[in-house]
Amino acid sequence: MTVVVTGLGAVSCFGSGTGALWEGLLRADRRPEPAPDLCGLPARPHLYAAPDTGAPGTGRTGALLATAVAEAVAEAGLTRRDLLDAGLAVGTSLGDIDLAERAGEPGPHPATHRVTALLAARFGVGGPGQTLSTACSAGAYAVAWGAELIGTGQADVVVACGGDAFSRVAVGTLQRFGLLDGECCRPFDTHRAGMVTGEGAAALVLESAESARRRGRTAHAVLAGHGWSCDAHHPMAPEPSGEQLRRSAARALAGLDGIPGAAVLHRAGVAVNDTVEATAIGEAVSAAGGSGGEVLGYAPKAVMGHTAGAAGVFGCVIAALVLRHGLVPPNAHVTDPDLECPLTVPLDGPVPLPRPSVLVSGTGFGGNNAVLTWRAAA
Amino acid sequence: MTVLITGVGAVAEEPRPDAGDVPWFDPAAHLGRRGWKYLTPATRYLLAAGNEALGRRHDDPPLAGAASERFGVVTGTQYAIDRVHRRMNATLTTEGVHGISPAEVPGFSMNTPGSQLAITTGARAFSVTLTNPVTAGLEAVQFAVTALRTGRADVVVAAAADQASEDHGGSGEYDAAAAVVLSARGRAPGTAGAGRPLAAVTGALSRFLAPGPAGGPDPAALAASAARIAALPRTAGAVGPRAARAVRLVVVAPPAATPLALAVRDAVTTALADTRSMVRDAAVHPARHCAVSGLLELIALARPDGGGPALLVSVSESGHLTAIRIDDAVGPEFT
Repeated sequence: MTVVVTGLGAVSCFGSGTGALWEGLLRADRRPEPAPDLCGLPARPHLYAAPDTGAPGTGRTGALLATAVAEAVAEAGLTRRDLLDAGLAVGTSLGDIDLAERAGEPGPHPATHRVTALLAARFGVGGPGQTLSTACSAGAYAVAWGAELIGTGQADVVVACGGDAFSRVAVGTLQRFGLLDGECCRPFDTHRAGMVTGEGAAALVLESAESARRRGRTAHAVLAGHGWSCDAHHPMAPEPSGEQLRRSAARALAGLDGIPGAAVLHRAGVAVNDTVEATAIGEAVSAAGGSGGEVLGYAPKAVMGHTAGAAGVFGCVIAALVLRHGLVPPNAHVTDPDLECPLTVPLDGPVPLPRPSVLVSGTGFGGNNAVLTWRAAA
Repeated sequence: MTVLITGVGAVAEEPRPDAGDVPWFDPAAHLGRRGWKYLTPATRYLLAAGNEALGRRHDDPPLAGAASERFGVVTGTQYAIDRVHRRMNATLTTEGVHGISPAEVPGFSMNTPGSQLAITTGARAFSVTLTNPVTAGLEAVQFAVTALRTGRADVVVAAAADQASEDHGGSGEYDAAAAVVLSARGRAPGTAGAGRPLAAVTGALSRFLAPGPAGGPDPAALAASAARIAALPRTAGAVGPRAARAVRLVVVAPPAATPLALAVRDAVTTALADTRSMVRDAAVHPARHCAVSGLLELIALARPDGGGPALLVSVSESGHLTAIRIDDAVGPEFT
């Protein structure tokens, strides 16, 4: 069954709306600011902070998600009636973790992972509703799971979204593991020293092509394929050969006729992980009959940080925007380009998309891999 | 395609008024003397339940090669990070980052129990963690059934693990983990676990019941969801005389969701009557084991001696609902 995208939503360090997101990606100059807390470090770490959206939600992530979902649902023209049997797939790593991190509030952990129930109640989404927390690939899995719900007839329409907000514990523990860059996120620079966290939420309205036709809606993008895998190797580090990531990429590419024009990479500035990912994607593209150099590699985290459970959904929203505009934004914060990447890396300005298809990859702690491919709507 | 339950495993804390501080779970008995020191309690419980369900010892080598790429894990949890997060948050605000041991760092991520189970068993098809309060455990079954149907795996362990937010049932909730091995019939030669399937999962669904203006569920939404539950497939293949047997109905919910659970029980009973199905032993059971509760009920229903057809519904206070329909895995098609 063909699954299409009919609505997009986003709130990020660029502000609310996919328009602000696209503009920020094209400007390619955003740098992080000091986080609101020391996180147990000598100086405040960096954060690509999202604005307060003011949407009602019990916690910050819930509020960001509500803003992104409202935009996507409005663009898709979904009514309350349309949503009665719709599905909801939410990717989040830590949920409304701010509720648990407020100072001076001892006692039981508040319900941080109730964001899906809050969204379902707010928007009246009555079909299947799951929260996926596969660490940093949660968003990619949320979109993939949404497609499975449609493919198996459990829903005609699914709101797939992801969100995460600032967390003292996430930043502190990433620092303890030596995974944070003290300057900014610079995934294509050889001097990269780790990730920088970001806040945000992104949303897609997925529906069967038949449902979109029946509702008279235009598709932004068509899901061509998606592959899943698990390294089953280490709780935090990727398996060095990238064999499982390559396998999921190969399955996603099998849905495309040829190789993609661009790849929106998970690439977060952690050198080992970045290399494993680029190599695996490059090899999968080669196995599909092309070469890595024919694919434009793009790493949005340089200008918006690592948004954890939102990252994979942002990847898919950005893929849809790349397909809509026919452009790949330039990669930011590169002084000394990483020459080991087998993909072509736009640096100086936006580059025309050579073929109307985009690969999105998501990886996470635990070796949780999900790769999706999108093509332009006919 | 028929989905079979080929193995089950569980560890669960029960109320023990006189236990004092004696721990209810002995990791060494399940996991050997070494290798679990830095794993969170929920992770230890999950490994114990997962190993039991798969019929493997803790030190058996993980699956490798093509079989591991057809083997997946899906884990439900609501409290996986609760205690670790509280401790780390306090440490970061008092001692600073050096008060945290690198060995405990993975514990801050919700997926860590499931990822450890995937590493231990060699699950490379996928390892997904679901985190809706209460219903995540049965959602793992729904997820697994869906993934088996779309061909993403041939064998999936659907599991759940939680360490309650307070010790000894202080919050009314207790620690537990449970796991069921689900196999696509005919696609999983030599599957670990029971030689004979315990039951067949014939249908699964998830819904959300938004509270109506009066506080309870919207009557129309409740009736619509009940009708879908009543319409879940009775058998995987042809409908024979067995389909006419009375269906056992169990709704499992935490105490705060009891009014919703009673409404769901009555609505599903009515909807089944509309499809000329008989209901037997319709009951609401308390969910005392967090997100594991639904899986523990499923294991109780999936008996090798033939429990008959059953509908199991898990509901949460916030409105999530997951329903699983099972039947005996007997008869010519299962031999």
